[in-house]
Amino acid sequence: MCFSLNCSHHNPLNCIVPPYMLRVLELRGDEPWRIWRASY
Amino acid sequence: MARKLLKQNEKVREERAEMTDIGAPHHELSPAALNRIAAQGESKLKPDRQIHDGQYKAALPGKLIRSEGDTETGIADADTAYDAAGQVFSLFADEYGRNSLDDDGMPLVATVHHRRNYNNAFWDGKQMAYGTGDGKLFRTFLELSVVGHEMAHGVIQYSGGLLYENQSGALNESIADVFGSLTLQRGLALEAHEADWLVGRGILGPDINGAALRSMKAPGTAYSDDLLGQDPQPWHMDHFVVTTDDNGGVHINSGIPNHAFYLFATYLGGKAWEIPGRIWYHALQSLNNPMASFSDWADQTIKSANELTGNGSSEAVMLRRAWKLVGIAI
Ligand SMILES: [Zn+2]
Repeated sequence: MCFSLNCSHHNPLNCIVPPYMLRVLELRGDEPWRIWRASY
Repeated sequence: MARKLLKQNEKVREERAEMTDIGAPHHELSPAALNRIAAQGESKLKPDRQIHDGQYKAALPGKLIRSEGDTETGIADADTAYDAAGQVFSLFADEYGRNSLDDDGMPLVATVHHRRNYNNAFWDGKQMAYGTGDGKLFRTFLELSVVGHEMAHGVIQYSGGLLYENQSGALNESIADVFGSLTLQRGLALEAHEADWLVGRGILGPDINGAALRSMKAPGTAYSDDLLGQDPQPWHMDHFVVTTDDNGGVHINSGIPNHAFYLFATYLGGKAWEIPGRIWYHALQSLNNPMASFSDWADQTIKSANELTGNGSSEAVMLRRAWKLVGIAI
Protein backbone atom coordinates (compact mmCIF):
# COMPACT_ATOMS: atom_id res chain seq x y z
CA MET A 1 0.00 0.00 0.00
CA CYS A 2 0.98 3.56 -0.40
CA PHE A 3 0.28 5.97 2.43
CA SER A 4 -1.88 5.20 5.40
CA LEU A 5 -2.96 7.82 7.87
CA ASN A 6 -2.85 5.28 10.64
CA CYS A 7 0.55 3.92 9.91
CA SER A 8 3.01 6.63 9.10
CA HIS A 9 6.09 4.50 9.41
CA HIS A 10 7.53 1.30 7.97
CA ASN A 11 6.07 2.24 4.67
CA PRO A 12 7.52 -0.12 2.08
CA LEU A 13 6.72 2.24 -0.76
CA ASN A 14 8.44 5.31 -2.05
CA CYS A 15 5.70 7.71 -3.11
CA ILE A 16 6.42 11.09 -4.63
CA VAL A 17 3.49 12.86 -2.96
CA PRO A 18 3.77 13.00 0.83
CA PRO A 19 0.77 12.16 3.03
CA TYR A 20 0.41 15.68 4.39
CA MET A 21 -0.39 16.97 0.90
CA LEU A 22 -3.15 14.41 0.47
CA ARG A 23 -4.69 14.58 3.91
CA VAL A 24 -6.85 17.48 2.81
CA LEU A 25 -8.80 15.10 0.61
CA GLU A 26 -9.75 12.91 3.52
CA LEU A 27 -10.72 15.91 5.61
CA ARG A 28 -12.90 16.95 2.73
CA GLY A 29 -14.42 13.48 2.51
CA ASP A 30 -13.03 12.53 -0.87
CA GLU A 31 -12.93 8.76 -0.64
CA PRO A 32 -9.53 8.44 1.01
CA TRP A 33 -9.14 4.77 0.10
CA ARG A 34 -8.48 5.91 -3.43
CA ILE A 35 -5.55 7.87 -2.26
CA TRP A 36 -4.01 5.86 0.53
CA ARG A 37 -5.32 2.38 0.74
CA ALA A 38 -3.90 0.94 -2.39
CA SER A 39 -3.52 -2.73 -1.59
CA TYR A 40 -2.46 -5.10 -4.28
CA MET B 1 9.74 34.07 12.85
CA ALA B 2 10.60 37.07 10.67
CA ARG B 3 13.53 37.90 12.92
CA LYS B 4 14.75 34.33 12.77
CA LEU B 5 14.57 34.36 9.00
CA LEU B 6 16.42 37.64 8.89
CA LYS B 7 19.11 36.24 11.10
CA GLN B 8 19.36 33.23 8.88
CA ASN B 9 19.68 35.40 5.80
CA GLU B 10 22.41 37.39 7.46
CA LYS B 11 24.27 34.21 8.22
CA VAL B 12 23.93 33.08 4.62
CA ARG B 13 25.26 36.38 3.36
CA GLU B 14 28.28 36.08 5.62
CA GLU B 15 28.91 32.53 4.51
CA ARG B 16 28.46 33.50 0.88
CA ALA B 17 30.97 36.32 1.31
CA GLU B 18 33.33 33.76 2.78
CA MET B 19 32.79 31.63 -0.28
CA THR B 20 34.25 34.21 -2.61
CA ASP B 21 37.56 34.01 -0.75
CA ILE B 22 38.35 30.70 -2.29
CA GLY B 23 37.81 32.03 -5.79
CA ALA B 24 35.75 30.76 -8.64
CA PRO B 25 35.78 27.03 -9.25
CA HIS B 26 37.98 26.08 -12.13
CA HIS B 27 36.45 24.00 -14.83
CA GLU B 28 39.86 23.41 -16.29
CA LEU B 29 40.56 20.19 -14.45
CA SER B 30 43.90 18.46 -14.77
CA PRO B 31 44.00 15.61 -17.29
CA ALA B 32 44.33 13.14 -14.41
CA ALA B 33 41.25 14.57 -12.71
CA LEU B 34 39.36 14.48 -15.98
CA ASN B 35 40.26 10.83 -16.39
CA ARG B 36 39.02 10.02 -12.93
CA ILE B 37 35.65 11.60 -13.56
CA ALA B 38 35.36 10.84 -17.26
CA ALA B 39 31.86 10.09 -18.42
CA GLN B 40 31.30 6.61 -19.69
CA GLY B 41 30.49 8.17 -23.04
CA GLU B 42 27.84 6.67 -25.29
CA SER B 43 27.55 3.33 -23.55
CA LYS B 44 26.41 0.20 -25.26
CA LEU B 45 23.91 -0.40 -22.51
CA LYS B 46 20.31 -0.56 -23.66
CA PRO B 47 17.10 -0.43 -21.63
CA ASP B 48 14.44 -3.13 -21.55
CA ARG B 49 11.27 -1.15 -21.01
CA GLN B 50 7.95 -2.83 -20.24
CA ILE B 51 5.07 -0.41 -19.99
CA HIS B 52 1.72 -1.65 -18.68
CA ASP B 53 -1.79 -0.26 -18.60
CA GLY B 54 -3.23 -0.60 -15.12
CA GLN B 55 -6.70 -0.01 -16.61
CA TYR B 56 -7.53 2.14 -13.58
CA LYS B 57 -7.40 -0.89 -11.31
CA ALA B 58 -5.24 -1.69 -8.30
CA ALA B 59 -3.56 -4.82 -9.64
CA LEU B 60 0.05 -4.48 -10.72
CA PRO B 61 1.58 -4.56 -13.21
CA GLY B 62 -1.58 -4.77 -15.39
CA LYS B 63 -1.67 -5.34 -19.13
CA LEU B 64 1.62 -5.11 -21.07
CA ILE B 65 1.07 -2.54 -23.83
CA ARG B 66 4.55 -1.49 -24.95
CA SER B 67 7.73 -3.51 -24.84
CA GLU B 68 11.22 -2.39 -25.78
CA GLY B 69 11.42 -1.41 -29.43
CA ASP B 70 7.63 -1.35 -29.95
CA THR B 71 6.10 1.61 -31.76
CA GLU B 72 3.98 4.17 -29.95
CA THR B 73 0.74 2.98 -28.39
CA GLY B 74 -1.13 6.23 -28.88
CA ILE B 75 -1.87 6.16 -25.14
CA ALA B 76 -0.23 9.39 -24.01
CA ASP B 77 0.73 8.30 -20.49
CA ALA B 78 2.18 5.01 -21.74
CA ASP B 79 4.27 6.67 -24.43
CA THR B 80 5.51 9.34 -22.03
CA ALA B 81 6.40 6.65 -19.46
CA TYR B 82 8.33 4.78 -22.15
CA ASP B 83 10.27 7.82 -23.34
CA ALA B 84 10.95 9.10 -19.84
CA ALA B 85 12.19 5.68 -18.66
CA GLY B 86 14.59 5.74 -21.61
CA GLN B 87 15.95 9.13 -20.56
CA VAL B 88 16.45 8.02 -16.96
CA PHE B 89 18.15 4.81 -18.12
CA SER B 90 20.43 6.91 -20.31
CA LEU B 91 21.41 9.24 -17.46
CA PHE B 92 22.56 6.33 -15.32
CA ALA B 93 24.05 4.32 -18.20
CA ASP B 94 25.75 6.99 -20.29
CA GLU B 95 26.86 9.30 -17.48
CA TYR B 96 27.53 6.88 -14.63
CA GLY B 97 28.03 3.54 -16.39
CA ARG B 98 25.12 1.84 -14.63
CA ASN B 99 23.21 -0.92 -16.40
CA SER B 100 19.61 -0.30 -15.27
CA LEU B 101 18.30 0.10 -11.73
CA ASP B 102 20.08 -2.97 -10.38
CA ASP B 103 23.21 -2.45 -12.53
CA ASP B 104 22.46 -5.85 -13.98
CA GLY B 105 20.13 -4.92 -16.82
CA MET B 106 16.83 -5.48 -15.05
CA PRO B 107 13.70 -4.61 -17.08
CA LEU B 108 12.15 -1.22 -16.42
CA VAL B 109 8.60 -2.17 -15.49
CA ALA B 110 6.07 0.63 -15.23
CA THR B 111 2.30 0.87 -14.92
CA VAL B 112 0.31 3.89 -16.03
CA HIS B 113 -3.37 4.47 -15.24
CA HIS B 114 -2.84 2.97 -11.80
CA ARG B 115 -6.22 3.14 -10.01
CA ARG B 116 -8.78 5.81 -10.73
CA ASN B 117 -8.12 9.44 -9.74
CA TYR B 118 -5.00 8.25 -7.97
CA ASN B 119 -2.92 11.14 -6.67
CA ASN B 120 0.51 9.59 -6.55
CA ALA B 121 3.37 7.82 -8.26
CA PHE B 122 5.58 5.27 -6.55
CA TRP B 123 8.33 2.70 -6.73
CA ASP B 124 7.13 -0.42 -4.92
CA GLY B 125 10.47 -2.19 -4.74
CA LYS B 126 10.02 -3.85 -8.12
CA GLN B 127 8.35 -1.41 -10.48
CA MET B 128 7.11 2.13 -11.07
CA ALA B 129 3.39 3.00 -10.95
CA TYR B 130 1.76 6.26 -11.98
CA GLY B 131 -1.73 7.50 -11.21
CA THR B 132 -3.45 9.99 -13.46
CA GLY B 133 -4.23 12.41 -10.64
CA ASP B 134 -7.77 13.47 -9.79
CA GLY B 135 -7.56 16.57 -12.00
CA LYS B 136 -8.03 18.82 -8.97
CA LEU B 137 -5.01 18.30 -6.75
CA PHE B 138 -2.87 16.76 -9.48
CA ARG B 139 -3.25 16.73 -13.23
CA THR B 140 -0.60 14.14 -14.09
CA PHE B 141 2.42 12.25 -12.80
CA LEU B 142 4.06 11.64 -16.16
CA GLU B 143 6.67 14.33 -15.84
CA LEU B 144 10.38 13.66 -16.36
CA SER B 145 11.63 14.66 -12.91
CA VAL B 146 8.89 12.54 -11.31
CA VAL B 147 9.82 9.51 -13.42
CA GLY B 148 13.50 10.10 -12.63
CA HIS B 149 12.65 10.39 -8.94
CA GLU B 150 10.79 7.08 -8.87
CA MET B 151 13.43 5.21 -10.83
CA ALA B 152 16.14 6.67 -8.61
CA HIS B 153 14.39 4.97 -5.66
CA GLY B 154 15.11 1.75 -7.51
CA VAL B 155 18.78 2.68 -7.95
CA ILE B 156 19.02 3.58 -4.24
CA GLN B 157 17.43 0.28 -3.24
CA TYR B 158 19.96 -1.69 -5.32
CA SER B 159 22.85 0.44 -4.05
CA GLY B 160 22.48 -0.75 -0.48
CA GLY B 161 19.32 1.21 0.31
CA LEU B 162 18.50 3.98 2.73
CA LEU B 163 15.94 3.20 5.44
CA TYR B 164 12.77 5.10 4.57
CA GLU B 165 12.36 7.03 7.80
CA ASN B 166 13.88 10.03 9.55
CA GLN B 167 17.22 11.33 8.22
CA SER B 168 18.10 8.26 6.14
CA GLY B 169 14.61 8.42 4.64
CA ALA B 170 15.00 12.12 3.87
CA LEU B 171 18.31 11.28 2.17
CA ASN B 172 16.51 8.60 0.17
CA GLU B 173 13.97 11.23 -0.90
CA SER B 174 16.63 13.85 -1.58
CA ILE B 175 18.81 11.58 -3.71
CA ALA B 176 15.67 10.62 -5.67
CA ASP B 177 14.92 14.34 -6.19
CA VAL B 178 18.53 15.02 -7.23
CA PHE B 179 18.55 12.37 -9.95
CA GLY B 180 14.99 13.28 -10.96
CA SER B 181 16.03 16.89 -11.46
CA LEU B 182 19.27 15.85 -13.19
CA THR B 183 17.31 13.70 -15.65
CA LEU B 184 15.23 16.73 -16.55
CA GLN B 185 18.18 19.14 -16.73
CA ARG B 186 20.05 16.72 -18.98
CA GLY B 187 16.96 16.17 -21.13
CA LEU B 188 16.63 19.92 -21.63
CA ALA B 189 20.41 20.45 -21.90
CA LEU B 190 20.31 23.11 -19.17
CA GLU B 191 23.29 24.24 -17.16
CA ALA B 192 22.91 24.58 -13.40
CA HIS B 193 22.22 28.31 -13.52
CA GLU B 194 19.58 27.90 -16.24
CA ALA B 195 17.60 25.11 -14.54
CA ASP B 196 14.57 25.85 -12.34
CA TRP B 197 15.48 23.05 -9.88
CA LEU B 198 11.81 22.16 -9.44
CA VAL B 199 10.63 18.61 -8.92
CA GLY B 200 7.25 17.85 -10.45
CA ARG B 201 6.82 21.15 -12.21
CA GLY B 202 3.35 21.60 -13.68
CA ILE B 203 1.80 18.49 -12.17
CA LEU B 204 -0.38 20.34 -9.65
CA GLY B 205 -4.05 20.84 -10.53
CA PRO B 206 -5.16 23.94 -12.46
CA ASP B 207 -6.65 25.64 -9.39
CA ILE B 208 -3.74 24.94 -7.07
CA ASN B 209 -1.51 27.89 -6.29
CA GLY B 210 1.90 26.38 -6.81
CA ALA B 211 4.60 25.66 -9.34
CA ALA B 212 5.72 22.18 -8.36
CA LEU B 213 5.97 19.57 -5.62
CA ARG B 214 9.33 20.74 -4.36
CA SER B 215 11.98 23.34 -5.07
CA MET B 216 15.64 22.48 -4.59
CA LYS B 217 16.67 26.07 -5.23
CA ALA B 218 14.27 27.49 -2.64
CA PRO B 219 12.84 24.71 -0.47
CA GLY B 220 9.55 25.76 1.11
CA THR B 221 8.38 27.84 -1.85
CA ALA B 222 7.06 25.24 -4.32
CA TYR B 223 3.42 25.88 -3.42
CA SER B 224 1.26 27.93 -1.10
CA ASP B 225 -2.37 27.03 -1.42
CA ASP B 226 -5.60 27.14 0.58
CA LEU B 227 -6.19 23.46 -0.04
CA LEU B 228 -2.62 22.13 0.08
CA GLY B 229 -1.25 24.55 2.61
CA GLN B 230 2.32 25.78 2.51
CA ASP B 231 5.29 23.81 1.25
CA PRO B 232 6.89 22.79 4.59
CA GLN B 233 10.42 22.11 3.37
CA PRO B 234 13.32 23.69 5.27
CA TRP B 235 16.65 24.43 3.61
CA HIS B 236 18.74 24.76 6.78
CA MET B 237 19.31 22.48 9.79
CA ASP B 238 18.05 25.27 12.07
CA HIS B 239 14.60 24.51 10.66
CA PHE B 240 14.84 20.72 10.64
CA VAL B 241 11.31 19.41 11.25
CA VAL B 242 10.90 16.78 13.95
CA THR B 243 7.68 14.87 13.27
CA THR B 244 6.25 11.36 13.18
CA ASP B 245 4.25 12.31 10.08
CA ASP B 246 5.56 11.32 6.65
CA ASN B 247 7.84 8.58 8.05
CA GLY B 248 9.59 11.21 10.13
CA GLY B 249 9.42 14.00 7.58
CA VAL B 250 11.19 12.21 4.73
CA HIS B 251 9.64 14.54 2.12
CA ILE B 252 10.10 17.56 4.38
CA ASN B 253 13.70 17.50 5.58
CA SER B 254 14.91 16.32 2.17
CA GLY B 255 14.88 20.06 1.43
CA ILE B 256 18.17 20.39 3.35
CA PRO B 257 20.34 17.96 1.34
CA ASN B 258 18.46 19.04 -1.80
CA HIS B 259 19.55 22.60 -1.25
CA ALA B 260 23.13 21.55 -0.52
CA PHE B 261 23.25 19.82 -3.90
CA TYR B 262 21.75 22.86 -5.60
CA LEU B 263 24.33 25.18 -3.98
CA PHE B 264 27.20 22.88 -4.90
CA ALA B 265 26.06 22.52 -8.52
CA THR B 266 25.52 26.24 -8.98
CA TYR B 267 28.86 27.12 -7.35
CA LEU B 268 30.59 24.84 -9.84
CA GLY B 269 28.47 25.91 -12.78
CA GLY B 270 28.12 23.84 -15.92
CA LYS B 271 26.11 20.69 -16.30
CA ALA B 272 24.95 19.50 -12.91
CA TRP B 273 24.62 15.87 -14.02
CA GLU B 274 28.33 15.76 -14.79
CA ILE B 275 30.70 16.47 -11.88
CA PRO B 276 28.08 17.02 -9.12
CA GLY B 277 25.95 14.11 -10.36
CA ARG B 278 28.97 11.81 -10.58
CA ILE B 279 30.04 12.76 -7.08
CA TRP B 280 26.55 12.03 -5.72
CA TYR B 281 26.32 8.78 -7.65
CA HIS B 282 29.75 7.64 -6.51
CA ALA B 283 28.89 8.55 -2.90
CA LEU B 284 25.72 6.47 -3.13
CA GLN B 285 27.70 3.48 -4.43
CA SER B 286 30.24 3.71 -1.62
CA LEU B 287 27.97 4.74 1.29
CA ASN B 288 27.22 1.25 2.61
CA ASN B 289 25.08 2.56 5.48
CA PRO B 290 21.28 2.23 5.19
CA MET B 291 20.85 4.28 8.36
CA ALA B 292 23.07 7.16 7.27
CA SER B 293 22.43 10.58 8.80
CA PHE B 294 22.77 13.85 6.90
CA SER B 295 26.32 14.30 8.18
CA ASP B 296 27.26 10.72 7.27
CA TRP B 297 26.05 11.46 3.77
CA ALA B 298 27.78 14.84 3.61
CA ASP B 299 30.99 13.08 4.66
CA GLN B 300 30.56 10.49 1.96
CA THR B 301 30.00 13.12 -0.73
CA ILE B 302 33.21 14.90 0.34
CA LYS B 303 35.14 11.62 0.22
CA SER B 304 33.67 11.01 -3.19
CA ALA B 305 34.65 14.52 -4.36
CA ASN B 306 38.19 13.98 -3.06
CA GLU B 307 38.40 10.69 -4.91
CA LEU B 308 36.98 11.97 -8.17
CA THR B 309 38.42 15.46 -8.35
CA GLY B 310 41.50 15.18 -6.15
CA ASN B 311 42.19 15.86 -2.49
CA GLY B 312 41.62 19.49 -1.65
CA SER B 313 40.26 20.23 -5.12
CA SER B 314 38.17 23.37 -5.46
CA GLU B 315 35.20 21.03 -6.00
CA ALA B 316 35.76 19.42 -2.61
CA VAL B 317 36.16 22.84 -1.00
CA MET B 318 32.96 24.12 -2.64
CA LEU B 319 31.09 21.06 -1.54
CA ARG B 320 32.16 21.52 2.06
CA ARG B 321 30.95 25.11 1.86
CA ALA B 322 27.61 24.02 0.43
CA TRP B 323 27.06 21.63 3.33
CA LYS B 324 28.11 24.32 5.79
CA LEU B 325 25.60 26.74 4.28
CA VAL B 326 22.72 24.38 5.05
CA GLY B 327 24.02 23.93 8.59
CA ILE B 328 25.99 20.71 8.24
CA ALA B 329 29.59 21.14 9.27
CA ILE B 330 32.01 18.48 8.13
ZN1 LIG C 1 10.10 9.47 -3.36
